[in-house]
Amino acid sequence: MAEKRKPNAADDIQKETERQFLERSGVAALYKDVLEKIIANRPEDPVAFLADYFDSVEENTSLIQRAEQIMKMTHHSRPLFQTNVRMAYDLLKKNKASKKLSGVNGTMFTQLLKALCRDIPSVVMQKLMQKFECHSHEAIPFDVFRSGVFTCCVLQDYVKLSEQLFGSLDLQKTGKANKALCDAVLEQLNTALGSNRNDTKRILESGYNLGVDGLYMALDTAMGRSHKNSSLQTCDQFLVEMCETFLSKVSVIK
Amino acid sequence: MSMSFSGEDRFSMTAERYLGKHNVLVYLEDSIAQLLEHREENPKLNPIKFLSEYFDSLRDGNHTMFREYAFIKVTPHNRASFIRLFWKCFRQIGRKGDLLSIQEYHSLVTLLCPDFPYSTVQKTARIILLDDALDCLISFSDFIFAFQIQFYFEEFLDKCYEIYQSLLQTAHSPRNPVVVPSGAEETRIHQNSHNPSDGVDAMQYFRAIYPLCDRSTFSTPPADGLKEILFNVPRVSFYGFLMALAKSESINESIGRLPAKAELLDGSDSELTSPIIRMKGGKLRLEHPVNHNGPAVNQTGAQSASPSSAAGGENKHTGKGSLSQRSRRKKESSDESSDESDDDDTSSDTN
Repeated sequence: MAEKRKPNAADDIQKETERQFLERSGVAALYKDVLEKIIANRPEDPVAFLADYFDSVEENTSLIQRAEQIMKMTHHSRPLFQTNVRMAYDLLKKNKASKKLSGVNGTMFTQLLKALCRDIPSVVMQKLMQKFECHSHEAIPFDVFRSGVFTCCVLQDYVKLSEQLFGSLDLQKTGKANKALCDAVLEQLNTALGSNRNDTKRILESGYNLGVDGLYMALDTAMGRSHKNSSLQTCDQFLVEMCETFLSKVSVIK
Repeated sequence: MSMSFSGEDRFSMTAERYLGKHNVLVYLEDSIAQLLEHREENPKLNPIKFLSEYFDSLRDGNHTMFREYAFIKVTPHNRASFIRLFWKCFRQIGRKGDLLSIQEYHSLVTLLCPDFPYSTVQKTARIILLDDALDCLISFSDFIFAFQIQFYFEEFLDKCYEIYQSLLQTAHSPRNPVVVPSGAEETRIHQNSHNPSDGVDAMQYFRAIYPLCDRSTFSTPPADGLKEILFNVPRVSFYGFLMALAKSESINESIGRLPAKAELLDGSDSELTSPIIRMKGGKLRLEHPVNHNGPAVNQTGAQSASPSSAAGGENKHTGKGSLSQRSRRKKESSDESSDESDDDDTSSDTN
C-alpha cells in the first residue's frame, strides 16, 4: 500500500488510477484503519479478525452488528477494551430515533447485549435484562452502557468457566453430574461470596474455601454423603444455578 | 480469571513480528492485488463486498482454488487449505478405490493449481514407493497423507534430509565407529551396518532434528509426534521416517484439515457426489460443498499406536533391502486401498 509513486513510468496513468480508485472507494482508508486495529488489539486469529472487520463494514450490516464486532476485538481484561467500548458507544450514538433525537436508546442497548450474550442460556439472559430494568425509549448514558456491556462480557466468561467446572464434576462423562457434588460447589461459592467486603479474615477464608484444598474437602464430604440419594443434574441446570449466584451480585442500576 | 491465552506473549512482541508471524501483510497485499485484478474484468465491482468475500473465504480456507503456486505455497494456512481442497474435490477417487500413477495425481493437482510443480508430487511418490518402483500405482489415501507431509513440511523435510545425509556420512567415516544399540535387534543391525539403506540410529536422528522444531521460519511437526515415531524404533531410514510422518494420526491432527485415515472417505453421499467438474464458458469450474464441520477428531488407542509400529515395519524392510522385501512394499502400497475402503471388489478389479 505504501509503495512510492514512480513518475515518468510508461504505465504511470494506470498506476495513478489504481491509487485513485483505492482512495476514492475508501479502501485505502479502511486498510489503514484495520491495520491499526490489528496492531492495537493483537487478535489471536488475525484472519478471522479481518473477516469480521470486513463483514461489519459491508453496507447492509446494522449499527448493532458493527458495535458488537468492535466490542469483540479484544478480551475485556485488556486495557484497550475501554477504548473499544467508547468507540462502539460513539458509533451507536449516530443512530437517529427521530428527526431531532439521536443517541443510544434502550432498544439498541438491549439488542446489543443480547447479541453479546448469544451463548448464555436464555433463562439467565432474561433475568439479567430484568436487572437492567431498561425501557426501550429511555436514553442510555455512557456509564450505564459501559457497565452493562462489561457485565455481559464477564458473564460470558463465567458461563464458559462454569461449563468447564461441570465437565470436571461429570466424572463418567455422561453429560450428567452428581447433584450432591454440584450443590457442594455452589454452596462453597455462595458462602465465599456472602462475605463482607470489610471483613479481611472472612475474605481470606473465602479464598481458601474456593482453592483446590478447600474445594476438595467440600467435594469429599459431599461424596461421602451422596451414596444413598445420588440424583443427577444436567449441564444446563448447573449453569442456571451458577448464574443465579452471579446475578445475585449484579446490582440494579437505578 | 483463568481464561487461557496460550499466545499471551503476542502482546509483548513488536508489531512487525506479530504481523509477520500471522502473515497479515501477505493477505492484505494479496487482497488488494486481487481486487485490482478483478476490477479490470468488472469495472462495476463493489470493492467492499469483494473484500468481505475475500476475507470470509480466507477464514474458511476456501481461497486457494485456481490460485498460482506462489500464493498457495506462501503461508501454512494456504498450504493446509489447498490440501483440504484437493481432498474435497477428489475423494470420490478414493471412494471408488481407484489407484493412480503419480503423473495422474499431478494432473489432478494442476486442475486446482495450474502451475503446481511436478517435483513436489514426485517427492510425494518417493515417500510411498521405492526408487525403482516410482511408476507404481498409488491409492488415494496413501497419496493424500504423504502429499500433506511433503507439501506442508517441505522446508523441514529438506533440512531433515541434509541432517540424515550428514549422519550417514559420520556413521560411515572410519574415525567414528558405528554405534550398535543393545537389544534383540542387535545381531541383525550389526550385520547390516555397512549397508547404506539400513538407516541411522533413531535416537541420534531425533536429537539432530529436534532443534528444528518450533522455528518461526517454517512449519514443523509437533515434537511429540516425532517422539512417537523415533522413540519406538532402534534405527530409521529417511523414507521410513517420512512414511511414518505420513501415517501419524497425531501429526495429521496437528495440521487439522484432513479427517483421520479411518474417516477419510466417509461422508454423506450428497456430499460425495456434489463435487462436480464441468466445463462452463471454456473455463473449468469445480463445485464443492462448503463444509463447516471441522475434521473429525476420533482417535482410538489402536490408531495412535500404529505410527510407531509402522516405523518399525519400515525399518525392517529397508534394513534387509532384499528383493522380496521390495516387492512386498510395492504390494503393501496397493493393499492399503482395499484395507480401508469397504468395497473390496472394486479395488481388486482395478489391480
